[in-house]
Amino acid sequence: MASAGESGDGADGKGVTTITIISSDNEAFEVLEAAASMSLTIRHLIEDGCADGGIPLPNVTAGILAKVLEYCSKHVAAVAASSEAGSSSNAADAAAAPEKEEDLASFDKAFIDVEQDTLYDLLMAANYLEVKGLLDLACQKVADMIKGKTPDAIRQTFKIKNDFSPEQEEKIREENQWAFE
Amino acid sequence: MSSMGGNPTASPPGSDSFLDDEFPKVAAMGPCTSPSWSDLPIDVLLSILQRLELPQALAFASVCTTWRSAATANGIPRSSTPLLMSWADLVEERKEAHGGRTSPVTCNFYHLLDVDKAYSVSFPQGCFVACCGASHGWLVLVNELSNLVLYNPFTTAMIPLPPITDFACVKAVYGSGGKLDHYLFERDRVHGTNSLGTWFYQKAVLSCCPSKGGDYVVMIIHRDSDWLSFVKAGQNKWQVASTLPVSGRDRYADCTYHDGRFFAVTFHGMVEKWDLDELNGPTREIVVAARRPGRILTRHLVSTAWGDLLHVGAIFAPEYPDGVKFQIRKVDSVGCKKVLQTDLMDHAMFLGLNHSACLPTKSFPGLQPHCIYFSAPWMTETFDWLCRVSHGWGGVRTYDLKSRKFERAFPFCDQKGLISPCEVWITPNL
Repeated sequence: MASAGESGDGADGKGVTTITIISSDNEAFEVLEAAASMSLTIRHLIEDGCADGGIPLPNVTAGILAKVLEYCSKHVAAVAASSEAGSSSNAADAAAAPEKEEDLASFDKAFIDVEQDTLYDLLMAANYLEVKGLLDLACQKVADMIKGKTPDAIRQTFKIKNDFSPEQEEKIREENQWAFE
Repeated sequence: MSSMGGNPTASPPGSDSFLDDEFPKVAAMGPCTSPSWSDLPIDVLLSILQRLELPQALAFASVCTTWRSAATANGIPRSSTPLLMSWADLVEERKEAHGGRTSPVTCNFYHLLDVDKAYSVSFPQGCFVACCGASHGWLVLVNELSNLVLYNPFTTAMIPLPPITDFACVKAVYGSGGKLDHYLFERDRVHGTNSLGTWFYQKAVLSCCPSKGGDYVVMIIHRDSDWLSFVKAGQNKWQVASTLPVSGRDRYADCTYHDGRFFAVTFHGMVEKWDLDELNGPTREIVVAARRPGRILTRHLVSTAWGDLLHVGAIFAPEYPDGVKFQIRKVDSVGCKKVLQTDLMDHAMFLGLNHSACLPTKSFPGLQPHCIYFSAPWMTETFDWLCRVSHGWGGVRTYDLKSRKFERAFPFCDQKGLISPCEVWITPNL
């Protein structure tokens, strides 16, 4: 599942440094430094000079790490492409920019359309790795899943146990009677 | 792509795992364990919460203790606190657009515990042209076809009510292709499909909560505040109960549901008790006779938890600090009106477009006892007196029965006009 660094194909002539990230179950992923740096956590480790021999992430398994890096690589490539289009004098390139934005939006939509357990893991990983875009995407997905649901339905969806004490429960039921019947 | 790498059977200590005690618990938390949505880090919970509008945030706060703490930390009010909904912006927009195309509507909700904080709540397309009531936590909205709908902003449930064309004074005119083009009011006055509804309904109340297939009845004051009509759950046609004589100049001011019956009060002070179950059709009993209106600004009927029906009048009174006084009387079964002690016995009243409410302040933190929380209803009938109230009108106000001051409850700006309402209280049903 390791994604090979896009060495040389970058075609932007800018640095093509790759970084190795190691999951908790010891799988190594080679990605562009730019992509890995979308994670503030990883960026700080790189800046602190801890990147030699690969960056170990004891809290993230290979499966989820792969997905996070997929997100980062896609977004970094999109940013590079649009700055290319921006600086290019080619009208066709400039015209293609909004289309590329749409592509990214549909990528995001498909990307976050995952099973709930995966969504949870992505949420935790994005939070831990501080990948803002992915965290926002995942939080919005959760918010969308909450919309229109009663508290009971939300508990069922997310398999959350109702851990209110009987007194709290009674109070909440009184409060909610009119709002959520 | 499996997310459960590593040890899939471990569960973090203290989580609400459904794996019982079959599998050993491990110290480390992380993505390799079964999801514990209630234990999401607080900043993640806050990030989710920020993307929810108030109704969903209230649901969020009722899911489990950790989510509730996050919501409280973020200042989400308890759902029992009476809320104020304002659509003043909508009215302004509509004036500027000259009643043009309807677009998605958002209103601001406020609560009394933090008057500066506005919660933006969006409504489904086309269902909110005006609001004419709030009862048992549901709103009574006028949609873009000038028909009424019941809408619960917390569950987004919607119940359409029978169409405006049930009333003899309104005829629908269709264009080519069979689409509704406009309405004819009183045979010759043309109104746009969504503009008729902006003034045709003055007040709506429900007998009970319409959720879960209850047997609710809707009563409305409408047309020129001279018609009183109703419909029962499951029926598909409005029934007109009463039409006041146009020449008589008396008009309906308010209606309420009390002790199993609907009551209505007119600006001249007549109180009617209605029986809608009679086989011969709706019948009325006049409980209090009409008399001269005096300097009346508004009249409201309030059903109390202790069994009284109160009649509250806002009166133009230049000798009072803010030019307005509120008078409370009890409507007796024998029909006599008695003057009630101004002490509201530790209750606060909510008056306006909403179904009048009298709430015990002990159960609602932040409410002042012996206070009337007031948002203006339709003011067409008493506009003359209104013009004389110099500074004591407009905006949402509280009237303190002890100090007699009638002051603003919220700092936000008034709407420009004074006749059509643009705020309503949403109070829980007790």
